[in-house]
Amino acid sequence: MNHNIRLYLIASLLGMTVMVGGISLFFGTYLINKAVISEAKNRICFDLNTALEMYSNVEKQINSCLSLTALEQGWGDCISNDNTQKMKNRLTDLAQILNLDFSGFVKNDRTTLCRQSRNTPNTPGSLINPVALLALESKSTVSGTFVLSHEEIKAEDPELAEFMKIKLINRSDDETQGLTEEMSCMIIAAAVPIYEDNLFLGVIYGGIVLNKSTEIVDRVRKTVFQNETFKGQNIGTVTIFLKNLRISTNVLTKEGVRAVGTQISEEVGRKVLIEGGSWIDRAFVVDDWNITAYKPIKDYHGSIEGVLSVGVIESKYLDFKRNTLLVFIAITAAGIIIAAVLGYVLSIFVLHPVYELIKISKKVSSGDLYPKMGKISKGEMGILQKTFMEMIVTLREQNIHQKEESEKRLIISEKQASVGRLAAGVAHEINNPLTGVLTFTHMLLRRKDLDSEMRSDLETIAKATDRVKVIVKGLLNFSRQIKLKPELSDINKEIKETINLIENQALVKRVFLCFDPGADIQKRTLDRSQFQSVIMNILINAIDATDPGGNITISTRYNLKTQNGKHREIEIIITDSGCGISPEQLDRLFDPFFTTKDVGKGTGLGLSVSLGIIEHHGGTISVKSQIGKGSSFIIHLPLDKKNE
Amino acid sequence: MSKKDILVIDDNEIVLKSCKRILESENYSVTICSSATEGIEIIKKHKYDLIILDIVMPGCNGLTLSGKIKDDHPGTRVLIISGYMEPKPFSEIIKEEKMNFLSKPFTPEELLTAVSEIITAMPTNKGIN
Ligand SMILES: Nc1ncnc2c1ncn2[C@@H]1O[C@H](COP(=O)(O)OP(=O)(O)O)[C@@H](O)[C@H]1O
Ligand SMILES: [Mg+2]
Repeated sequence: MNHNIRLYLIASLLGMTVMVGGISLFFGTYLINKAVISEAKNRICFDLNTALEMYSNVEKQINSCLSLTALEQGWGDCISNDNTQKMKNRLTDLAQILNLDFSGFVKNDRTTLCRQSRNTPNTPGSLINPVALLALESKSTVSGTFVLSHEEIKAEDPELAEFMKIKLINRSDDETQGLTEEMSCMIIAAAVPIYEDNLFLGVIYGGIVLNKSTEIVDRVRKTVFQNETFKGQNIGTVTIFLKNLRISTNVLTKEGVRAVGTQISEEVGRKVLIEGGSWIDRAFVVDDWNITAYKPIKDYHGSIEGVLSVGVIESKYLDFKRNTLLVFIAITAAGIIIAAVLGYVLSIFVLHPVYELIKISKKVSSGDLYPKMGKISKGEMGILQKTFMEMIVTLREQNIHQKEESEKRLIISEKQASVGRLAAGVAHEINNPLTGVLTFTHMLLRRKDLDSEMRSDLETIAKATDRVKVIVKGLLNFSRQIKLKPELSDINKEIKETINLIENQALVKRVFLCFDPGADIQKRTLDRSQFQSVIMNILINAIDATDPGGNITISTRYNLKTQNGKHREIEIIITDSGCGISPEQLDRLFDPFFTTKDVGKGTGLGLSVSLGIIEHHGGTISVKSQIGKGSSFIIHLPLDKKNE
Repeated sequence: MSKKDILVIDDNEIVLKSCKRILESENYSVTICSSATEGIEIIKKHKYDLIILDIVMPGCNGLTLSGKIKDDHPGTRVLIISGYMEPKPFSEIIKEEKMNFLSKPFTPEELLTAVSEIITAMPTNKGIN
């Protein structure tokens, strides 16, 4: 029962923590998920912008370098002297600086005077570079992303054109099943018109091929992701698509080679290539989930020709998410454990006063009205403790009050009894001499030889004596009126009631009262209050005589003593384990005013009155005692005659 | 008519003297005795017509003695006299047993009336007459 409270307390605390922990775990997971994903998306967005910026910087760089070169003097000389070598040198310098894949010079008459590329030193061909052609026609700078056909790139560098071919790595569901190779080529290029003395001489052009190029994507990755790795894998990837085809990427296939030739997922392709929007979400890239961002690349003419994308492998975020969750779970678990321990400690702390109270109430119920209460706690518990103590104080007061009351009753009945006894004694003593006076006065009055004066004197004596007789009779009647209220009573019940009155006094002194009522004790006419006062008197004496820890037993029984062969007698035996009574004291025990107690405590009337009362009920009191062992008071009460 | 023998047992001398004086004046033969134990001895030796008994006496109370007399000497009558005017328990016994009772103090007339009532009611008395 007591342990249940503790269990409940711990359980509810635990339940609460588990609930709170669970809820926060649930929402925490949700929030972390959201935060991590949105953070990843934010970052990838930012990264994509950086990538685009870098991409357009490449174009700008080519543009500005070409522009600077175009401003150099001597282009005219080169043309007029047909000095292609000088032209070539210039282009070579340019190509080296910009790491160009191809470059060339086209005269205003649309003849390509000079071409320069990595593999083929000079491959003049009939086909004019389309970028250059645009610049020739507009006589202004042209720069941007272009898609060149195989023929067009072949014109620049046949070897390069061959190298740039991209084998499609087909997916099973690929709609372009028949196509196995991408021949066209994406480039970033610029063409700049050259003027000398306001004369339009031609254009120089240059560009880099993006197909199979690693330079831009790796540079972007290096800048954006700082080559950060996760489990031996680069976390970030950058890809350039031509239409839906990966032409330049650092996404790796399972085999660990660049995934050039693989294609954009259909969904993303539709969104970015067809609708021209951007895409930021999870995407399955080659064979791994990534968080990716895609933006279309428009060519010089403004049509969407490709896609630039950056991606971060998701597992990094998942890992981060998992770690965060683990920490979260660990914190919750720790919280639960702490709550359990706290609950236990708290329950001890909270329940300690409760247990204390239980202990005290047990003490009180066993009669100790002066229990020691520990520290009074604060709050409700303290109120309970205080109230409990107040209750005990009230109980104590009541107890004292009750004790006083019963003592008062005892004193009153003792007084009444002693007045009655006195009256009875006086009457008895007076009646005898009065009988004499009456007798002899009347005898004298019978004589015939009395003179009238003597006769009248004697008659006065007789009258006065009669008057005394009446007075004594009145006195006796008065004492009887106080004394006797006989009722048919159950002796055991009267004794039990008396014990109830005195029990607390015994408990307080730690003297044990034990009542052993005899079976079938017949009812008898008794003055109940006087009988009770006799029992109380003898019990109080016994309690007074007994040290704490001692016993007092009260028993009733029949004594089948033969008196005229008929009389039956009830014996009430009150035995204590007290100090005992010496033989000298025993002789004077029932004398009025004999007491060994302090003045004010004992009157010495108790036993003498008790004996008087019992004698008036036709009984006697006998005493057996042994010094140091205890005493036994036996009240002998003959049964009513009619009950026999 | 023979003199009736009356024994008076009382622990008070004045009472004894008074009874003797009253009863002898009416020609009863009176023996007095001041204690119950002594009385028992006397009863053994002589047969009395009437025994006048006090209730409260040291050693033995009059009622017990009365019972004893009734058992041992069926022909002897008993008159109880007591200073406790009909104390309840006694008075109940007295009523119950239809005992003759006279409360102290009494005048000579009262005692003589009580005694003569008992004696005239005696069957032996009637038989003799
Ligand atoms: N059970 C007892 N054991 C020892 N002494 C007793 C016992 N009962 C009575 N006495 C002695 O008898 C004395 C008289 O008792 P009592 O007449 O009741 O007067 P009181 O109790 O006022 O002294 C007591 O003072 C005590 O010395
Ligand atoms: Mg007492």
